[in-house]
Amino acid sequence: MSKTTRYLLNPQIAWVNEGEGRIRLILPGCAQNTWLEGVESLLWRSLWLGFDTEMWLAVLAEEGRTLRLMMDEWLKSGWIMVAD
Amino acid sequence: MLSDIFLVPVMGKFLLHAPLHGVTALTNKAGANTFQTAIRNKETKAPPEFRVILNQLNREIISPTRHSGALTDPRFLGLIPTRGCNMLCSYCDFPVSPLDSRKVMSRELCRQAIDAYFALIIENKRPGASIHFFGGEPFFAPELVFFAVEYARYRARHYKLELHLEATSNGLLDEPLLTWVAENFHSIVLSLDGKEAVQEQQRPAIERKGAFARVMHCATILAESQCNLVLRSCITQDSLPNMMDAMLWMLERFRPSAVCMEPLTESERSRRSGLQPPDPWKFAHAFLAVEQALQTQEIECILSTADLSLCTVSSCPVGHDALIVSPDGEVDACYLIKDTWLRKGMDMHLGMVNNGNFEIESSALAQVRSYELGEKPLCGDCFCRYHCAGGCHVNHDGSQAPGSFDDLCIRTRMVSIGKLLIKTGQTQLLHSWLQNEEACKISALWKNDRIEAWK
Repeated sequence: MSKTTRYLLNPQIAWVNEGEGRIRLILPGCAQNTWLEGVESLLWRSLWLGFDTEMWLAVLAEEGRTLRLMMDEWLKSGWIMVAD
Repeated sequence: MLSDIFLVPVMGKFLLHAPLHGVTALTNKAGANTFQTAIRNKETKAPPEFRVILNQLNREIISPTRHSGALTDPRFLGLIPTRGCNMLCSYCDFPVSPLDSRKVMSRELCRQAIDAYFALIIENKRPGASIHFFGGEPFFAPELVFFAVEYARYRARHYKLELHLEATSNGLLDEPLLTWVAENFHSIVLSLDGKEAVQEQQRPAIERKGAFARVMHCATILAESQCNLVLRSCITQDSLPNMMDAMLWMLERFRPSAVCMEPLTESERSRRSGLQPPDPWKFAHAFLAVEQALQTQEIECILSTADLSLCTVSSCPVGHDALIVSPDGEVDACYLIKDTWLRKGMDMHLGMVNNGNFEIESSALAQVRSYELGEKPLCGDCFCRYHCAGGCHVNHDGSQAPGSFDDLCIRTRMVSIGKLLIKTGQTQLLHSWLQNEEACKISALWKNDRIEAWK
């Protein structure tokens, strides 16, 4: 992931902001919903609003996670796309 | 010692008002005499019909006092993401330099301010935290507000703290930020001065195209959300005649939880724009007409100096240990521009945010806490003293002799009397009183409301 890589939410994925900052993903063809909480939901909302995801680097580091791995994972799952 | 019990004349009758005792009643001259004698002589024997009230008036009370000691219970953390704004209000009294208007709080400073605030809250075992955003226009720096809210909520969840989020805004918000605001804030105070012609005249946007429609859209989305919507209108001499019409329109369109009607505060810009504050008598009449019209709708009508729910020595954040952080990391007690309070010879500066801590000198805290009711001779004998508390410490001079009432005092006293009459079910008397110019003047200009001074 280069520093300039920008991501977009996949418009095919329906999702809902729920209470306490939680996000419910309604994945196509998937009977069960997926929930994003904590730093994952922060990242999701950053992408939704078009803000810099790197603002969460310190929080991610505290949780022992990296932005790169998370974005790669979400890309693989088809939840996000690389912006042109 | 004075009793903090007041008698205000209203058309030959008297409003007995004792805010610290929780008593408001209407009495006649003989009743006022009886109360005065009983209070003055500390009599316990009084006619039976007076005993219930006298028992309440004889109760031990705790008077509101200024904060003292260490900083342990800040009312809220105020964040000013930027002093910049995308509106050019004709009356703006925030004289921000072009350089200052471009400054945006850094993310790192914001994080440190939130960490320092939460540390203070946790150390002092407070159950909840509250963060208020001020400007300029806070959402003119949307990414910073987003970071602050999401970071604060993330931390609050970790510490199991209740978190309240509030902002004042001009409503020039676009999707999807607007949806996010509606879903995440508990309360938004939205400035809306009236229908399109008034709004465009008083609150034009820098990019003029479609501003009114954007503010309308914002108000609509907020009104449909869980967020508590408060509409705040600046009332000028020109907009006053249409105040009722404007408020009924806002009520019908947006069902706000409260409407706040504040008279214009004169500024260099308002004078240049030819805007003038409304006449205080006419303003009070119009305000009370709206109050009565909205009474059945359970919509609160607010004039900041006539909020009867308060019992305080300071009706604004100053004096309640609010910590308001400016874009450059200064911590102040007041959200007004520094130059504004410095010009008035006041020092609202508390300290700095540094290395994740608040660096606040106890002398600065004591200085800020000294701006309170006890230091305002003007308010000494006024029945509004415990809810108005002299109004804005910066913009309203409380150093005059007791009873030297100015325009702010007149409208505050008039509106407060009206609200008390409504509270005691005296709407017919309110109506007659408002029709009688002389009676209004006697009530509003009564020099000393203290029961001890009554003759």
